[in-house]
Order: sequence, then structure tokens, then C-alpha cells
Amino acid sequence: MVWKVTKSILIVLALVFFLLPIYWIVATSFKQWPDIFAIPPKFTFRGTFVHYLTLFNIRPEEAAKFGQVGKSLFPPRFLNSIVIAGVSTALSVALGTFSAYAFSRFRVRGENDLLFFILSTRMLPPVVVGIPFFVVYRALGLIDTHIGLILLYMTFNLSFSVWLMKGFIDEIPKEFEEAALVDGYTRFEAFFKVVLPQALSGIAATAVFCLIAAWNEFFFALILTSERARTAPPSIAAIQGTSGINWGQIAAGVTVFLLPVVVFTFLVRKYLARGLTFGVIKR
Amino acid sequence: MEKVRLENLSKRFGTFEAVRDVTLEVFEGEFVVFLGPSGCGKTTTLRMIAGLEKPTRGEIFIAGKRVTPLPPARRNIAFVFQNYALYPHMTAFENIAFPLEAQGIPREEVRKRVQEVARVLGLEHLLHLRPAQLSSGDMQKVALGRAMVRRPQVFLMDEPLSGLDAKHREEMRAELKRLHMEIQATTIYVTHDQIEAMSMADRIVVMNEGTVQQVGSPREVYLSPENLFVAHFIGSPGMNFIPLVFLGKNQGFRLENGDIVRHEVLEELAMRHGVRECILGIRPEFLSIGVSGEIRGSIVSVEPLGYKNLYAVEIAPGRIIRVEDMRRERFSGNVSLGVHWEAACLFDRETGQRMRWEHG
Amino acid sequence: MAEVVLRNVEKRFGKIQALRGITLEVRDGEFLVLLGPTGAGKTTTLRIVSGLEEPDQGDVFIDGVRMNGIAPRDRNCAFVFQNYVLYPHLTVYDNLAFPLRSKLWRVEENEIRKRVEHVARVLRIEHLLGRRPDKLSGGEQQRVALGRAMVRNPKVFLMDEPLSNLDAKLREEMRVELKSLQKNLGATFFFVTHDHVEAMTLGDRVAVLHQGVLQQVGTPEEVYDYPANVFVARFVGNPEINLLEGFPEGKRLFLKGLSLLVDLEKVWEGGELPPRVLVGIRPENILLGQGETSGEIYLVEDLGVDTIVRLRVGEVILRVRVPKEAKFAVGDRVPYRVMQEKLLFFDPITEKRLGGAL
Repeated sequence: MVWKVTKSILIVLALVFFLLPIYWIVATSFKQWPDIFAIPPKFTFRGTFVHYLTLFNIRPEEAAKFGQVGKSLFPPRFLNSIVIAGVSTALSVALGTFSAYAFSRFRVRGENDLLFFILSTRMLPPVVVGIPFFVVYRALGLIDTHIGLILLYMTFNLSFSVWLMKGFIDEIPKEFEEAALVDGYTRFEAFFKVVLPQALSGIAATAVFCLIAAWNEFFFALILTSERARTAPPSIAAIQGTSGINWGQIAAGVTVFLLPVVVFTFLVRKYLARGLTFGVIKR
Repeated sequence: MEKVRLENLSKRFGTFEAVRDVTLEVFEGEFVVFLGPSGCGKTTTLRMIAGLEKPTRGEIFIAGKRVTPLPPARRNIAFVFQNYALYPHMTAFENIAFPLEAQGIPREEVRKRVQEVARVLGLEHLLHLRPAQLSSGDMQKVALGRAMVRRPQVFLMDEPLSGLDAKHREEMRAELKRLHMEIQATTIYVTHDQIEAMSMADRIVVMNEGTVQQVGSPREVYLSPENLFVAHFIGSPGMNFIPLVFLGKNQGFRLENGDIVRHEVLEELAMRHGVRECILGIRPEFLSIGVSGEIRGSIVSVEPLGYKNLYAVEIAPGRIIRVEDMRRERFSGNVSLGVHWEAACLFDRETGQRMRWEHG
Repeated sequence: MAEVVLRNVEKRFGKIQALRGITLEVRDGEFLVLLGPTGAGKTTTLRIVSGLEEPDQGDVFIDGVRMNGIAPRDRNCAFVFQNYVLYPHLTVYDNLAFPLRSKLWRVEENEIRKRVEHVARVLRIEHLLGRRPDKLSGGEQQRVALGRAMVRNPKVFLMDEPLSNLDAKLREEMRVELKSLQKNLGATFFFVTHDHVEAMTLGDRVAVLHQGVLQQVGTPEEVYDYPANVFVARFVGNPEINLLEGFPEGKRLFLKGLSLLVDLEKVWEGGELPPRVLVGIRPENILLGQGETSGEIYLVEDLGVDTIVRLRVGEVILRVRVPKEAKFAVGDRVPYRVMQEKLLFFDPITEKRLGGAL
């Protein structure tokens, strides 16, 4: 009994600790300008949608009050984020699954070296390769293009995706495909009919990780894009008016930015729980 | 003298009742085997005796002392695990010595006792090796050595032979039994293998679905099983079950194919119990293949075992029983099975219990 | 239905020679059991027949057609795996229908339904068709796996220890079912196991494999009574055969350990024996309670149906199978007699059995 109460209290404390920053941002996005800066902070306030309305250029006339010059650039950049993160995730998961399958099932010459090489692409801090990438991208004409960022994110996530998916596929006994092979299917059919359905949880888990990484990426988005292909993270940070930082709009931008990842994770949560505990629990 | 006593021992995991009301006494020097299919509660019972699992209800006494609330270390027991649980970074010697070092016994004494145990187990020449360098049989001996060296009140063993291959298992079974005869240590042994139980136990405790089905010597559980479960579980293959309808005294029993079989003593037994729907239990070796027996059937298949043949005989549509025959020639076609009635058991089909003389 | 022929099949995995010169025929409608310890190459042999592995050398024929280089799906074999490999994302019905849905056969759904239902009826799993594999017991999973093999009417059934994941009781029952199933189907079964009891009881013939080399092929009785070599003699039979050293001296043979003189004229018809032989005595060929010499009972194992006694004679411990009525106590001195006409002689160097039939 005592333990139950203590446990509940501990859970509540942990929740407060972890959720407070999120609450702070969400609350700020609904606060009137003066309440944002109130000390001590206000927990009750009159809400407003003004930051969201100006963020999406629905009431541009309000924006001028906060010193904003011209239209908010958030909507096109948010769309860029969705396209770039989405496509790069789909690509790295698809490529990762196929390569992982090959590594898991066939005798690949120099398998361990190759796998290590793939992993090693992840060891370099992005900052180190920032300048070279810039130079290469400029030469290739990839600066400020969607395809440029998609390729980059895909490459960075691929190592992760190959390693994770290899773990998942290793767990699926190879007899499953062999049974299908003997029963009249080709290797390709066996992969789609037998392996893929069982790898779904792993694919979901991998996709979530890839998506979050691509979604949140800031550094390369900042140096490799300027206008057309710029994603949300650098653009949120740059929300500034003539009278200083527009905290209300930044908070609104961050809140909107949070939503897709939350929704996606929520949609695949059934697979995720199984995927994340895969291999830990003996089936 | 009584060494271990379990009183109304029960264990519940959530809503699952793993062990229900187990009451049992184990005597000094006795080798008791808990036998049952997986999930029957035998290992949970053993783990409760060891203190690795806390009983939901009931009490445990070891050497007359109530140990229910005590941690494993203070019960003076030794536990031998299925997977040996040897420390891979230590030699066989160090593994065996480990429990003694935990007690702070002087080194000279430790050496003496390890060597003594190694001699009994025939491990002397392997003491310097690490587990990875040992065969699985020797690994299990080292695990036994680690249990023996402390001279515990009771040995608890959880399927210690199941990691060995068939040939080694047979050898270790014999060695373990011989070892027990020599050191006479009180042992509680858990297994799902009825052959292990039959060959090693002084008494077998047959368990199923958390409850004790029967406690008795190997002969008792083999020849006089209390119920259908024990009759089927013990023996390889298990006892044959032949449904019978009791027609009345001096009228006999009706088989599924309509034939009548007569046996005065069993008729009397069925009469006393007032049971109409019965099951005749008869082991394969107490049926004989001939032409003038009581039960008609046709041979479905022959399973040669080299020194004897095992027949599958269909005595009614879909009703296949097994019959053992020591003759070399293979029989086939229609046969008539003779029944050695003195070895037959009669069960109540509804309750699954064997009808006994002392009741009814 | 068809026969399977392996001719001089060799297979190597890296440095390990898995199979050496395997020549073996599985006859049409036969239940052939390939028996051997772990690592003997049994599963590899089966995989080579199915096409999941290709032999390095030698030929595989199914129904007279050379199969080397032909994809597994074009060989029309069914493979039953040790761990059943039922697809967890499909129901039992869809698992059974899976082989029929391959583009290779172009079976219509109506026909599929008919065949799945027929197989389900034969195997008594009709009530399970809507369930997922993880909701089935081990025995039920085993039946579904068999059903998936049967549904296509393949030429050959390849079975890789299909009973080894079942508990002992179920295994005994499935043994009888499997054997009568094979007889009713009239199918060719190529069955792999490490369990000699399973091999003896199931097989029309038993092929014993050890370290990639075929040791003996024969009926269960032949393999038990006339093992080709020491390995087969020890591997088949439970408890293990007793092996002693023997020294022929003219017309007699001195059995070391037992200090027994055997009259060779009565028990040996072959030619001259080497100066030293290994003598095998099956446990049931030693009789207790009669004879001139005696031993001490070292251990009694009452297994219910059988009783195994270990008898100490000097330095030797003999395994003896005694009738179930017999009663012996440890420490008793009991006379014993060796049934000399049942002795088996082996060359101590080649370990091959000497003389006699087969």
C-alpha cells in the first residue's frame, strides 16, 4: 500500500519533470505578449491564437504589431520538412531493409568489414564534414535543393537503418523463406510474403528513428539551404522581428513542428513496442 | 527422520495458480523426484523450497526448522541448475571451492574438501580446466561438486541432466544414482522425464496443473496409478485406456466393438463403486498377441526396438492401443489380445480416478 | 510419388567436410530414416535433396530426373522443418493454403479450399483453421506443418526431426500417426532424426550417418542385430551395447574382463580372427540367475517395463536387461551367463564387424 502510493508520487514527479518544458512551450504559444515575459510565470492566462494566425499568414495584419516584416515563411518550410524527412526516411528504410536482408541471409564477401564501414559513416561528427559537403554540393549544384537534403539525410540514416534492420531480420529464422522456396515461391516472393510481414515491427521502429533524426536535423539544413529547400528547424530559430525575438511565434512554430512526429509515433506504436523489445524477450 | 516438510504450499502468479496445496514430507537420505509435464508446478515448488520464490500460502520446514521467511543463503541447501550455472572465468577447482570461500573457510581446509568431492565424482584430473574446456557431462559434475562441497542439509536439483545428450544422460543417471547410494544425501530432484524418475527415485511425486497427483515408489506409480493422468504419464508408451461399459455382475463389460469381456474380480469392483462407464487401464507388456484372447483388433503398425516389438493395434475405429511382444517375428492382420488381468486397473471414466478396494 | 537417389554426393562448408561420397536410394513409397548424432550431416543431406543446398560433387535424382542446379520450387518436394516454421502472420487456413497459392500451380481458390479442408480433416485440425499459429499447442503446430506438406501432394516428403520439439508423450503418439499416415498416403518419406528409437520404430529402412559418411543402410532389425561397425552398434540400442576385448587362441576366444573362454567353433563361422577383437554383447543377451560365473549387482534401474542392471565382474561393469519380474538388490552376488551365439565381433582397428551375414 505504502509502496503503491510512493510509486504513484514518483511517477507524477517524473512526469512533471519531463513534461514541463513541453507544457512551457505549448502554453507560451497561446499566451498574450505580456504574459510570455511575466515573472513569476503565469499558469492561468487568457489564451490567444494570434501566434498561430500570424505564423500561417491568416491574419498578417497582426504580425506587424510584433515587428514582423513581410509574410511568415513558416508554411512553405514546414512543407519542406515534411517532404524531405518523409522521403529520406522512406528511402533509408527501404534500402536499409534490402541491404540488411542481404547481409543477414547471403554469404557476403567481407561482410564484417562492410558492416563496419557502414557503421563508421556514423562516427564522424556532422560539423567536421559540413564544409566539404558544402563545397561538393556547390559544385554539383545541390545547394538549396530538396534532392540534396534528401540524399544527405538518407545517407546518414542508412547506416543506422542497415544495422537495426539486420538485427530484426536475423531474428526471423531463415527456415521461413526456405519453406516458401520449397513450396514453390521465388526468393523475391518469399521476401515479400514471409519476411516483410514479420519485419514490420522492426521497420516501424527504424522508421521512427530515421524520421526523428531527419526531422530534427538543424546543422546541414542551415548551411546547405537558404530559400527553396529550407526546412523548419533553422527557420523557426530565425523568427525575429524588428523589436527582438518573437517568442510567441517561435513557440507556436515549435508546437506545430512537434505534432507530426507525435502523430507518426502514435500511429506505429503497436509495432514500436514490439520492435523496441525485439530480441530482448524470448519468443 | 523427516528432513523437509511442506505444509499446504501454494503459489500464485497473478491469476495463475502455479502450485496448489502441496503437503509432503521428505525423509533423511531420501531421493524424491518431482515429476510432471512442463508447467505443472514442479520447478516452482522446488524454487520455493530453495527460497528463490516466496510461497503465497503455506510453510516450509527444513531439519525441523521453519524456513519460510528465510533467504536462500540461510536455509543450508544446495541448488543444482539445469544449465549448470558455472562461472566461466574460474577453473573447475575454483568453481567447486566458491561456496566455501564465501564462508571464509581456511585455504587448506578448502583444498582438502574440494579434492575429496572431486575424488567421489571422478573429477580429479579436470580440476585445472575451465568450464568451456569440459564436456557437458563433466560440467554437470562440477556443478554437483559445488553443491556437495558445502555438505548442505538438502540437495535441490532442477532437471540437471536435460542439457546432456541421450547417451551421456543415461550414464549420468546411473552415476547420480550410484552417488546417492554412497553419500545418502537427502535430495529433491525435478524432472519431466519419467524414465529418470523411475530409475532414480525412492519416491516419485507426480504433479499436474499445480497439484500432487500421486506420491509413491516407482513400482507403485507404475503398477497402481491413482488416476488416468498418472497412468498415461508414467511409462513409455503410457498405459492403454480401453473404454468399457459395466453391464452388471455376472454380465461382464461391453467393449466399444460390442464384445463382452468377463472378469469376476473387476466386476465386483465396478459393482461396489456403482460405476457404469469405466476405463480399463492395461500396460502394453500385460497384453499378449494371440488368437484366443479377449480383445479383438487388427495390427496397424509394428515398431521394432531390436530386442522387442511394439505393436499399434486398432481395437475399435480410431481406438489404437499399444502391445509389446518379445518374439522376433513380426505379426500382422487381425489378432486377439490376451489380457493379464492381475495387472489391469479399472478407472471411473467420469472422475478419472482408479477404483480401489478399500473404498465403496 | 517417386524415389530419390543420391550418387556420390560430397559437400563441404569452408574447412568442414559435411558429406563424403553419400550414395543412397530412397525407394518409391518407402519410409527411410536417416539416423545420426548432431553434426553427422543428416540435415545437409536433406537440404541437398530439397535444393536448399547444392552438392559440391555428385548427383541427386528425383523420380529419375537429375536435379542438380534446379531451384527448390521446381523439385516438388515438401520440407517439414524441426521448428515447424508456420507463418505467424497467417491463419492456419492460410498457412495450409500457402503452397497452393504459388504462381507455379495456378490453383483456384475453390480448389484450394477443397484441398485444405480435406487435409485438415485427415489430420483432425478442422477446428483450428481460423486460428493463428501462436495460439496452437506443440502437437497442433506439428499437424499444421504436416498438413502444409501434404496439401500439394508432393513427390517426396523431406522431414527434419519433426518430432523433436514435442514432449515425450506426444512424440510416442505422433510416431504411430505419422507411420500410418505414410502408409495411407503411400508416400515416399525421407526422415531425419538423432533418436535411435524413433529411427527403429518409424523406418522401413534405417540409414546411419556419422561424420558425413554413411555407415550402414538396412532394416531396423538388421541394424540392431548386425551393426556394420562399432559406431552403429553403440549408437543403436538402449542401454548401450557392452564392448569387451577378446583374444582368440586357436579354437577358443578369451574374453578379457570376464575371464571367459568362448568356444569359437560354436559361435564363429567366418575365417581366421585377428589376434585381438572387440566383442559386443547386447544387454538382453546376458542372463542373470544362471551359469557358473558370478558378478556383483552394482546398480538396479527399474524403468517399469524394463529393468536395467549393472553387474560388476572384476573391473568390468556390464549392462544387463532383465525380465520385469526379476528382483535384484545392490550388493547381491548373482550368477550370469553370456549367450555366446549372439556375440558380435569387431576388428579393433577398422572397427568393422567381422564375418556373419550382411
